[in-house]
Amino acid sequence: MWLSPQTAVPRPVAAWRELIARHDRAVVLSLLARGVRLDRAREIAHDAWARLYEQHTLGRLERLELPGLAIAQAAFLAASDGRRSQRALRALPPGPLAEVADVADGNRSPEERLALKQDLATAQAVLAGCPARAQEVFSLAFQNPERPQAEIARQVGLSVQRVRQILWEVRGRIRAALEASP
Amino acid sequence: MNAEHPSLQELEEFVGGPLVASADFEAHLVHCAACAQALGKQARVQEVCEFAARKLRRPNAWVHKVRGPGYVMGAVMAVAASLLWVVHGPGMARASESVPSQHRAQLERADAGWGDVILASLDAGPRG
Repeated sequence: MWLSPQTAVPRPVAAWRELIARHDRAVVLSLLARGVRLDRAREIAHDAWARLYEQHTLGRLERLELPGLAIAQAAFLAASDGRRSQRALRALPPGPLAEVADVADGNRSPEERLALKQDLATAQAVLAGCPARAQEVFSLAFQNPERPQAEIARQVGLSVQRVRQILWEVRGRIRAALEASP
Repeated sequence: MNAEHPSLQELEEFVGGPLVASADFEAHLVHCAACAQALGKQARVQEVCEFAARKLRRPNAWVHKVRGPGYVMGAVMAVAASLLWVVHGPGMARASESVPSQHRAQLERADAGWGDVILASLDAGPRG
């Protein structure tokens, strides 16, 4: 979604609240997926929204594509955060804190980055091997994760139990494929 | 919930929902390095699943209806092929060749907005 700075001016705060409510989950999830701790992920997401709001109200953003722009901003903040943490932790002896720092490190080698991009291809290959009905259920559920499963079940004409089972199975296959990929 | 560590299913349900849970659950995830790492892995699986779902082509309801009887789809394909053959003459081929390659690349980029974000977002995540 995007809106121009001009269109958002009349009620910017209300419009921003609505946008944040709609997209904040995607931003926090992206940070968790990078290994950022839950509490820190929420703080970074908050900072990312604050910076975007500021830039937008100053008219410095030509277009506001969400959640992509917020995810990118949060990733930038997380990477800066990770570098600061690394510097601070270098003085500490190895232990549990260092382990957490490894998880939170957003800086990876180009080889690792390339391998990460392959994860999407791996998931797509798994999905391609699933029956059409399973693909449909998967698509409906994961395109809108907060949508109730009962609603999806009604739409596709299956029981809620069956929808739950399909999602568990397909997600499990993808998880196993990701874990097995070199 | 397990008093020590949340189960895999609980982590999956957490990342698959609105990312809100009980204070105890969240406090454990914050303070336990192993669970924070497990949460990161499940969040990554969830994110990959959500991206992959966006890339899946979902057939429209009307396609479901006509897909049953194969001869209907066969007839539709035959008509479409005939129209393509009639319309796609030498003039259109020339017009297609005359579009500069950089403009075509621009159009391709414009069409892949979420995809780029997806790949950018996938960068630098935890592995394995």
